[in-house]
Amino acid sequence: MSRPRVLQVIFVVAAVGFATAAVMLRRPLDRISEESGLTSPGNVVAEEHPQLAVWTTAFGGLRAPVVAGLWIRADQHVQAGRFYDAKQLGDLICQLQPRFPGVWGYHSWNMAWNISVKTKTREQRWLWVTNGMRLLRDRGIPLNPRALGLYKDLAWLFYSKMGGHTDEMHRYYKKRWADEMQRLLGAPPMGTTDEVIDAFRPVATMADRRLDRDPRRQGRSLIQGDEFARLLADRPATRAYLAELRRRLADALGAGVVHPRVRRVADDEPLIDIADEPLLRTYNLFSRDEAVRNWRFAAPDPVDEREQRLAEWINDDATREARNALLAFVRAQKLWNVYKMDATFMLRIMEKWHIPLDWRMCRAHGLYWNSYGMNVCEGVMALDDLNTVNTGRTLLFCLRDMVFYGKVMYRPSASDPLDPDKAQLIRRGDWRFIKPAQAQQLELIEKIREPRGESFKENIYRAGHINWLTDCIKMLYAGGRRRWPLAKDLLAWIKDNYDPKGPEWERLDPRSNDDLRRFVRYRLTQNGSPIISVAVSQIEAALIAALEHLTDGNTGQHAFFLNHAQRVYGLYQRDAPPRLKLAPFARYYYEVLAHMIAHPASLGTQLDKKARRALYVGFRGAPFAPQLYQHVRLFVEPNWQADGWRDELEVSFKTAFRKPPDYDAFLEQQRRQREAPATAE
Amino acid sequence: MSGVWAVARYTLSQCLRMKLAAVFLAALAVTLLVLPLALEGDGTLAGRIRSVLTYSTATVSVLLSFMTVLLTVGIVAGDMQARTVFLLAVKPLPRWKYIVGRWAGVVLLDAALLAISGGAIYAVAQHLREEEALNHTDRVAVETEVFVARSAMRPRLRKDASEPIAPGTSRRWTVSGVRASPVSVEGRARLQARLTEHHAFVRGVSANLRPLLENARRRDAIAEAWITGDERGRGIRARVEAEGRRLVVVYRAGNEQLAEALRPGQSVTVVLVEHRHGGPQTRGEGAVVARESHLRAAFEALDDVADHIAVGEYVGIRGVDGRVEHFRDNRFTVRFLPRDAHRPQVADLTAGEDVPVTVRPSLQLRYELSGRGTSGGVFGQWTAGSARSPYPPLRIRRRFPAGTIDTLAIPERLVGPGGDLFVEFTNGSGVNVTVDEDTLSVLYRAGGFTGNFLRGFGLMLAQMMFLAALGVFAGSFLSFPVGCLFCAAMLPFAMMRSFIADAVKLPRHGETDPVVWIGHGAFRLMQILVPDFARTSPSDALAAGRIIPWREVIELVGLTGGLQCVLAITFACLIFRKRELARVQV
Repeated sequence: MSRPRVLQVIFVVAAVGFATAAVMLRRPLDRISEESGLTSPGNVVAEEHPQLAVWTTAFGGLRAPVVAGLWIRADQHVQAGRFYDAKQLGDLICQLQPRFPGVWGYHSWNMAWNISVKTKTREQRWLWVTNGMRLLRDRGIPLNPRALGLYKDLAWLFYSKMGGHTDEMHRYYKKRWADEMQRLLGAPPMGTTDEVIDAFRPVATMADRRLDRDPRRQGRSLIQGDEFARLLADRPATRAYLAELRRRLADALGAGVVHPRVRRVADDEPLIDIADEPLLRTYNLFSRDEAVRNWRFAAPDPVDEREQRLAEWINDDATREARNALLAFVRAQKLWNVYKMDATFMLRIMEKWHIPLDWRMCRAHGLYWNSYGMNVCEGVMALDDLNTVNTGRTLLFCLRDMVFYGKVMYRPSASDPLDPDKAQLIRRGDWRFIKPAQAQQLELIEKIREPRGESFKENIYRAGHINWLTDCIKMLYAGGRRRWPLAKDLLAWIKDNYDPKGPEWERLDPRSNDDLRRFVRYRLTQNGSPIISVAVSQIEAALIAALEHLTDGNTGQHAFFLNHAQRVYGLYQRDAPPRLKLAPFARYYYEVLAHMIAHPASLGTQLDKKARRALYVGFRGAPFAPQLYQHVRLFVEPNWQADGWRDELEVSFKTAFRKPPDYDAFLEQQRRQREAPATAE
Repeated sequence: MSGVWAVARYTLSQCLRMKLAAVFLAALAVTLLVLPLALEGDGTLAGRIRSVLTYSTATVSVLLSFMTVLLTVGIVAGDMQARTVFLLAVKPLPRWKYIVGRWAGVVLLDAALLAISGGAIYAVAQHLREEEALNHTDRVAVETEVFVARSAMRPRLRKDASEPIAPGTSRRWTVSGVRASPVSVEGRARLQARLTEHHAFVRGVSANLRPLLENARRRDAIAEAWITGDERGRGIRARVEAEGRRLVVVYRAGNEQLAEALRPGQSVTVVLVEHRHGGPQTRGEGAVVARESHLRAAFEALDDVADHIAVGEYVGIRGVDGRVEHFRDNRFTVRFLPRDAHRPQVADLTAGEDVPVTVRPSLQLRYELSGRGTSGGVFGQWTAGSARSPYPPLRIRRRFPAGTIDTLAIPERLVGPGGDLFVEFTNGSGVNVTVDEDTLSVLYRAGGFTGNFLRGFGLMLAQMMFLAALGVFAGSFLSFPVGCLFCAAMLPFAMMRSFIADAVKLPRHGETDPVVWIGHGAFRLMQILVPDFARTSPSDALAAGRIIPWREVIELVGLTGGLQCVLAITFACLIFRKRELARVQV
């Protein structure tokens, strides 16, 4: 071999050796850098995406012009209605500048707020809103975990775009999100705050024990295989349960019964696949647990004997422990891998404020992402930074709004459970959020006040704080006398701490019922019409109080609260723009009445079955009696035995709830309406 | 031409041996493999296919453009530099044949690569078409907005078309000349009964009809007479079916053309088969799920039919048309016209029964609304229909997007017998709204995706032919680096010609600055010499499902691949003919 050839070989071998050494040394060096805080936390995730390195280096010095060109093109495409390319280009621009949080924020905003309103169907809008949401949640935040602005943008998307009323299709967003979350987590109990928190605790516990929260693994699979294997190894009963579920599902669908509600499974399908969609769907279809019964329109309706056996087995007490463990595991895993949410932190939020948080609400997710962002960015965010201030405010807004919309009832249609349009979504106020929101408001004021050198009385949030507390007082006042002590406490707090001026505050004794009444009436008449959430919360609270008094036979108080509800309704309707006008007042009355008879716990009241039946009998002559009977047939009759109606009333459903005379004519009218030609989409 | 052919073959083999070509081929292969996997579009299947079509065709175009220029300049200039041209110069080969041969060789390579890459893109697009769509709307968009070739028909614009529409008022536009007319099966039944009763009359009708049919066939329009009981009609029908034309259109007696043929005053409806604007009907099998009322029934269809059904469209059930009111999971509800309720095809529908289902094609209204403070959309109503159509007008009342181009599907059934269709917008918002007159048009299916795709690649070939000519021209008198620079200066001009045309300052009346005149003159000259590559790029047309008409293909191929290309080659031949290849040194 000639000398040059020998040298060539030596150099090649040396090059390979150095390259290998570099590769081997890189990970330890990276780890040391991470431990020393010398690298961006997003590097951990970025390492798993080599294409980012290619994009950021491939164009060299031309990266900036390329980005500018792509930006112009993306804008042109949006103007021309070619939205298909806007996301593609947005993704590309973000990949070219992956460490620039503003770019992720801009493109997410562009998709969720700008492009979405240029589309016309609900599905298209939802697609673009979720495109924006996913860009931040799944891509931007993992690469920039310390960018508080991204958490704030994501939380604002949940709070305002999906949870607010600015978009005319906001109800569809709320329904879609509630539907998605309900399929995963079920509905929380309708009982106390502790019951709601305890119902979620198993998911958090499972996330703590059987979830690898390494950000590099997040989203790689729906369920982490190694953790799943450990779960089955720890709990043989769970393995047996899954195997039995697989066998029963294969059996139920094996005889040619193709039921569209459950996916066909094979005898030898891996258990990890059974643990995901088949488990949740079967559970949601047939379970009689409260988490499912609370939202299902009717009792489980197996189509044949095999499904009947499957339904009975799903509700078998003997397998309850294994089933619950498995459900908690799947929920924790999907929350982490699909929704990028940490169930332990979700529980921490509920416990921190002691709130009955319903994760089907968009604003609950706004609260989560704000809190999570502030938690992750603690130590790197400056108190006077605009992002910090706005994140704190959005967090507060989420909590505040739950006072007026904290309770959710979402019921998919019995005839078409997959169509969110046909589902029923009801949101109601929940006074249990008042104290946590007040505590958070005080915490925020303290954070902001000191650096600005303001006194508490003159803090920057003063006006908004007083207004919100006044709205709470009005809602509590409308909610009946048992809520008045808290209303008076709040009134006293305002007077003591802010000492506001105005005729309603003069000579006000916060402990006097008469002064409370005078204050509320003054604010109702003098402050102009309330915003929709505040108005509806007062109307519904007053109607609930009115009907509660009616069941006690106190017709005078019934009339008092009914009048109050009508007054608030009239004040709101007087100035509301056509787009935001409320439904007829009778509709609200009917809705509250129907819920009080069928599921009073959803209204926060406890009524025995005799009182509920008495309410129904009392309204048999009302114009809405046929609708009321239809509602009762849908929700009471299927659970007549299971819910103990038969034992308590000792009569049949038909005897207890007699059909109104015009019910058949009402059904015929409904049929004709369904058949009327549809002239508009 | 044997000399040209020999040089071309030699050039082709030379190109294949060159590393430069290999690099571009590798880049092309990697691009075509990676792009379909990397591109996601907007999350919908239609968006993904559009993205793949846009980016893959654009990438092929750019890569091949650079390859063509580098190869041609490199080969011709390289022959001079390496003095290999001496070997050719001493042979009995005219110099023009050398130039043309070099050009043809590279064009052959381009054609082969375009065929391969076009085939790959087409296969990928068809593969993606089979993927699962996000939802039914997405599937319908794939079939009716991507895998089609649509043409646009502009309405007659009134003088006040560009004026804003005041709140609460309406404006109507009329599109005429839509040749498709609604099928009336009732008409067909009447016709059949009447013709059975009056054979003699029908024979006369057919005799009169035949020249019309023959004439129409030449226009690739009318194809069949569906006249029961008439020998001549059956003969025509058989021939038409043999030609594979199966689309049905009814011409009422009110149609002027036919009224002559059928004698005025006769209330006879003749059913003809015509090539329709709305495109082919999709036929398949379905089953009755439930009979909901005397006017409404629910059906279920297999994917091949269901994929084309959209809410608001018309489907034919046993030949009777009804409007689709609901659709989900291949199940759909159809509402029939009251006049059809008692017809046996509708009255006898029973649950579980199999029925033939025909999905009628649709047109699309393209529009853009704008107005102050309308970023969240404009509430209003679009109405479409024809006073002479038996079907009620379509009314879509909701909030429409503003500030962007949008489309609405209009059932072709709504087109009147004379081919007329009106569209009307009622402004239901509180502000003045303008409907952009340049955008307002009715899109109709004018061809298939495959033909459009081939025409698009034909345009790309014309572009490559010009670039090869440009490269040969540059190589004929410039060295390789300078030639490449020359072409690199031409390429951006060709790609951004439209943009430059907008940006270039036009000389105003009384302009005295000579620089402006010279600049403008130079630009005009360049416009003549260099083609507009924005027009020869098929990316946008393919992604938007817009037809590339033959007229445009012929015009562009004639201009770019013909005139401008010939001009460049002629200059190259002239220069090369006079060029001193070697200097005799004594």
